[in-house]
Amino acid sequence: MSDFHHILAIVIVAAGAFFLLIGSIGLLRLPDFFSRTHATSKSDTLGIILVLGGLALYEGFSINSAKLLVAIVFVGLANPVGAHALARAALRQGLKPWFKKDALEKSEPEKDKK
Amino acid sequence: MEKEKKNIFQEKRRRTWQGILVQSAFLLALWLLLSGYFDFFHISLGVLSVTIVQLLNSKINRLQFYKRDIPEWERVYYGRAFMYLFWLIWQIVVASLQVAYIVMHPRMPINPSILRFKAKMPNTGASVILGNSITLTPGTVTVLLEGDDFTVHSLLDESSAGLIDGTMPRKVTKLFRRSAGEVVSDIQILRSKKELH
Repeated sequence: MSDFHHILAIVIVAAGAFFLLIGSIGLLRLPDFFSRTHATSKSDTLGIILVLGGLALYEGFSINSAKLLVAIVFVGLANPVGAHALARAALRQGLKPWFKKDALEKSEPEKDKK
Repeated sequence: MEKEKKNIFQEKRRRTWQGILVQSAFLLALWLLLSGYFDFFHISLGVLSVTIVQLLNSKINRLQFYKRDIPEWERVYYGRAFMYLFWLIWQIVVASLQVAYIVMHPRMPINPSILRFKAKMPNTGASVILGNSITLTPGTVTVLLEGDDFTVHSLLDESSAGLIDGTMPRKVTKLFRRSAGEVVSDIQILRSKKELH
């Protein structure tokens, strides 16, 4: 029984690590600031929730797991607000998002030259 | 008229005190949880810190952030809020899987657009819940939120569908109202830098 819940906890923590990795890859691959906020706000939130939740499960019913659950609530509240604050500041400063149409228009004249 | 004004003032003061008490109870519970010691010395330290925090916060409590929220007291449908929480968690999972798909895809099939719309929400809290939910649901991030005006960055074409037909704003409105009519209006979809001022 104890083995089973340890294995489950490890699986959940591993899944969380996977989503954190996805968040980092997205941060590197996506074209501009606004699309990168998608990677950090969604994947990272789920990743942290899974890692902390898995640790709480591993810990069992104790004050430490209660602390981890409180941390999950705070991360869940703070992460979207943080992403929103960053995106808002960027738009206020006049940063323009990357659009597919603009990218296509830019690349087409180059093709004509060739 | 004069009496009404006095009533609103009293109501405001009553609610400020209620807010301070609820907040203190919450902070003390957090202190107890994080400290893990339940003897007199540690609890008295907790009470002391809560008092100091409330003294520091007293100016903020008195400020009137949300002018239009003061007169009416909003009831919350707790059953719906509970269901909404689970729906939101499910949406976070879907959103993360979608981001994972986009990011791992060799050509990254994204088509970003900026969405502007007005959403008539019952109060400021509902606007904040909607804004945060938009950020957590698949493919959309709230960029600007001023009064009723929302500006949303959307990563894919299909990801903004739930906003354009008003499903999600209605869901949030229903946390505070029995039923919701048309809440979303003036939708603009911008797809190039020229259209964005």
